Amino acid sequence: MTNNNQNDKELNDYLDGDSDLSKAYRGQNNVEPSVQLDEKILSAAKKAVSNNRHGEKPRYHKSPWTLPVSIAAMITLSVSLVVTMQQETGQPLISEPEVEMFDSAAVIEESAMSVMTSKDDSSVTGEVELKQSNGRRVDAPASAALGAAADFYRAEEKTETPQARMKALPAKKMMLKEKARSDSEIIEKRQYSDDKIKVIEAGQTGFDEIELDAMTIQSESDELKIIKKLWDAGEFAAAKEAFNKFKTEYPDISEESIKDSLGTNVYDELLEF
Amino acid sequence: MDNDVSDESLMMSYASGDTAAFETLYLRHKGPVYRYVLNLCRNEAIAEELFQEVWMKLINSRERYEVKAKFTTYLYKLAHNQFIDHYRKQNVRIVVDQSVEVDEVEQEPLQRNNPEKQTQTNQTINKLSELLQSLPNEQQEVFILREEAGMSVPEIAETLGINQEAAKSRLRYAINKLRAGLNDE
Repeated sequence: MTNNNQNDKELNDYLDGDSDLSKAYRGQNNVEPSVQLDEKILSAAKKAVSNNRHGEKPRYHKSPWTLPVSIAAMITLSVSLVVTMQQETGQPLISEPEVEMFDSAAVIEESAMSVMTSKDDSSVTGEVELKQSNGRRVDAPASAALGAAADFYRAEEKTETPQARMKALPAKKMMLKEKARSDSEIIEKRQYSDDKIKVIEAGQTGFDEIELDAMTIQSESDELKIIKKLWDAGEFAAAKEAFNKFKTEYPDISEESIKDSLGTNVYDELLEF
Repeated sequence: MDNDVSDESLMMSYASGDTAAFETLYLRHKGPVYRYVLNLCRNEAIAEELFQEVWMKLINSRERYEVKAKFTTYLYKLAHNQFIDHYRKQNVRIVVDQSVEVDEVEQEPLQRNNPEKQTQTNQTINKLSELLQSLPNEQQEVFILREEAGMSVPEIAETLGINQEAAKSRLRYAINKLRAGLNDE
């Protein structure tokens, strides 16, 4: 116990700084790298930056697909959530008046465009004729035509009939179709990624065919997984190549982490391969 | 470049294309990193090779650099991994290069006028160098990280990927052995 305390005291004295040991160490010749090496490294640093400026794609640049895919996934999830909530609560996805407004707005826009592009005198004088789905007419200055019409239809929402509500159905169908299309795209991508792994497991492919897909590979651990699969499938050269590439791209990932993912044996064998 | 600018800011500036920032960073750390690597492998040619690879890795990973920890921790982690990789590839204990001697010690002006004290100091330094070489790699490394990079125990632990108790224990063993060796003179 006394010995431990003594050791701790010595360690703390040393850590406090300026101990005899530190002074003796600092008295050693302060060797530095050669001037040629300095120049080599500094010029490499400059060259790397100038290559970037000249439009060369940065080596570790994230895939340009990452952001769009993330946004698409977020939108899909949100829509799915809304649809699920709608199904559970029985509430419509979009209120019927809103759907009818979209429908009516489309008619207004169509009419406005046709009037504006026609040779009718009203367009020359700045007046457009807006036709509503129920046949009523609205006259307004061209610049304010759409806004005024939208206000008009908002006022009309309160008087909507069951027949008018039926008009909302095509819009709803379109939204559901859109959602189904996005969902199937995601499932296809997922299957594509899974299929690659299955193919590797079956040993039916070379490295070129399983070039990492930026849209499906999300992290270093996925890359390590691929390396492991390649190795297990007997694609040693491909695994080694992927392993070297990984080590270059992730210099800050410790050996221990890599070993944990690959297994010590595979890691050692990859080094020796 | 201002000396007060932190390493982390310099690295971020370099990542945005400021090569002057890299130069400042390099000049600030080249000596300690080189001595760290040299002390581990005790061979100048290998040390230069490893040293260059460490900086090239830093250059190539500039786009991905994020300020998660101290820059020195990141830099020495690269150096540590580089040394380990090299060691594994060779699969042999690295041969000590006897040409790296400490007899070319830069003399302090005061000591030049005091030959007796100078001789004593040189003896201590030579002895320390021998003792350092005789330490197990793990203990030697924590001592050098402390001396060259000025790292605290938690920073050493983070750099080497070990827990703080292990780092503390290695450092304690190292200084005890070095002190005992110097006192045996």
